[in-house]
Amino acid sequence: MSDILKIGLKLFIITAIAAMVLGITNLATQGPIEQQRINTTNLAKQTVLPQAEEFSQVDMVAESAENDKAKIVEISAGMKDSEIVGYTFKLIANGYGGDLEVTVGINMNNKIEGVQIGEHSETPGLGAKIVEGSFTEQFNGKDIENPLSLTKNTPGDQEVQAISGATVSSDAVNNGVNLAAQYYRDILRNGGGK
Amino acid sequence: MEYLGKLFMILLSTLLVNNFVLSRFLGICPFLGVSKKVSTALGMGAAVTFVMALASLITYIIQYAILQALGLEYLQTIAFILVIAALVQFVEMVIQKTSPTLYQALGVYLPLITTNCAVLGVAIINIQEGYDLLQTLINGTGAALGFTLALVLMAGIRERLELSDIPEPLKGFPITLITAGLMSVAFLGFQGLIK
Amino acid sequence: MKLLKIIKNGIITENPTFRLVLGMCPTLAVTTAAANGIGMGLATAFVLIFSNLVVSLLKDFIPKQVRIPAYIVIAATFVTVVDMIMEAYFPVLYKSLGLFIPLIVVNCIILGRAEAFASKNTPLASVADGIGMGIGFTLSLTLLGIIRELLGAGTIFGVKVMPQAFNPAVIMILPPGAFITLGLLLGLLNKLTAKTE
Repeated sequence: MSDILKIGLKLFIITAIAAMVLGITNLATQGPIEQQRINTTNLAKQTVLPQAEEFSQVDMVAESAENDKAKIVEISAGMKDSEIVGYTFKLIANGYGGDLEVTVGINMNNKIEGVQIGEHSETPGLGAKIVEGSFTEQFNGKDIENPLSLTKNTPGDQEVQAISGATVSSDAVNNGVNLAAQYYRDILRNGGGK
Repeated sequence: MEYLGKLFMILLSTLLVNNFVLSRFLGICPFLGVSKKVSTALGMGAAVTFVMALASLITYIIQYAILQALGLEYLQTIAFILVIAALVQFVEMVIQKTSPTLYQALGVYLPLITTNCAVLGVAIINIQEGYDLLQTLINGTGAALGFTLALVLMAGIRERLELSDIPEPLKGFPITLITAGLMSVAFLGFQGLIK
Repeated sequence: MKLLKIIKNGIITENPTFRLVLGMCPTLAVTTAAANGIGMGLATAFVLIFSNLVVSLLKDFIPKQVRIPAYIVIAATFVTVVDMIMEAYFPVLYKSLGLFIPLIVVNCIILGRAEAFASKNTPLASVADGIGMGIGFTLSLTLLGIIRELLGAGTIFGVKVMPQAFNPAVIMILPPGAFITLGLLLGLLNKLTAKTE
């Protein structure tokens, strides 16, 4: 019996030390990890709305923030000299390989300022190309009055060229952008966001 | 109804689209090691399915009832792997006592399961995806069935490979890996099945 | 001199990937790019070196009956440390390796070396074994990553090296490419060593 006790005690000591080491490491890295997460979100916002200096989160009208293809998870107002210069939308859209994180920036001139893709699980080499500038930059400067649509050929005024072989992924991004634009048109532009 | 549909999607997704072995690379060691005969592959599959379903359930409870409640999420890896190791040991003992026949069939595979990364993998994925208890159970079972499916298919192919003329340097692991690659191509066809 | 031999043993004679065929899951999963291969290799090497060291230091303290759970606890501790450090300071790499960082704990290399080497040797030799195996694993993963990235994306470490006309074979960075590349590499190695022996 005392043998079992001894073995148990030894195992317990090892586990206790392990937990302590982890507790200390956790304390030491907690701050940087938190900072890192904030940086990632801020970086995305800054990229899609470069003229803003500060961002403050805006309350959402839940029923307008979602359709069957995408969902807005966070909206921030971009400020400069305490004036709103635009809004950033963080959305989750349904991609080919699952959820797809899109950040969209819309400025006060009713134009799309920038689009950035966050976490995604699209196919490498095909759908994953949506992260590349050659795709996302197509959205820059587009008017938000009417929904954008995808095309396989040379894109027109309200069109974006889909990545060949990755229509579903391209469409997912486009759906996200359109939902952000619609929310902006319907709610934010009329001052409903404040 | 919508919830039921989601459960079905999870099952289909983990079984075929994101097959643990062929597209997520989880559980490769037993996949390469225990796929020489269909009968042993089935035995291993059964043992893994049992442990994975149970492990999914228990790690779910540990995560939400203990780790998250106490703010100890950083102990997740260590807690999960210990639970799985203990569980495997426990299952081995219970089967040995209650059903000697089952023990004879599964016994040899049980100790190997602790280091099968599919078990720890599914436990972590369940939490990452934010599944509820029922979804966790379905995901765990589906992943294990997907593992079994790949294992048994592979064993069926390898039984025939034994009889064929393979270039000397490719015998053993190399040809098995290449075969797995071709199977994986076939499973790629399931991509896009789920929206 | 003996230590150097142990290190060389891990890199060449008993290379974990190509010789012992251990730790296949991360080997296949993360080698879509050369940088991921290095990252995963180094993370595993870190865990391996420290778990070898601690196991070796505690070899008289750990009761025989519960040595496996004890090894698992030790390995899991260092894995979690790596996990936290990477999330805090290498967020990009952390994201691309994802699930496979916590899964280092069930990498057969870690437990295998604890049981086969560290529990029977001095701390210094165990560290040397960890370094050798770690380098061997890192080199293998990087090699695989380079091949797959080159053929699948036309780049190495993200730098474009293939001519413009090269059309990347996307399948190489998809799951099938992992299996096939490793299978062919192992076959090639068998062929080469069969000749020299």
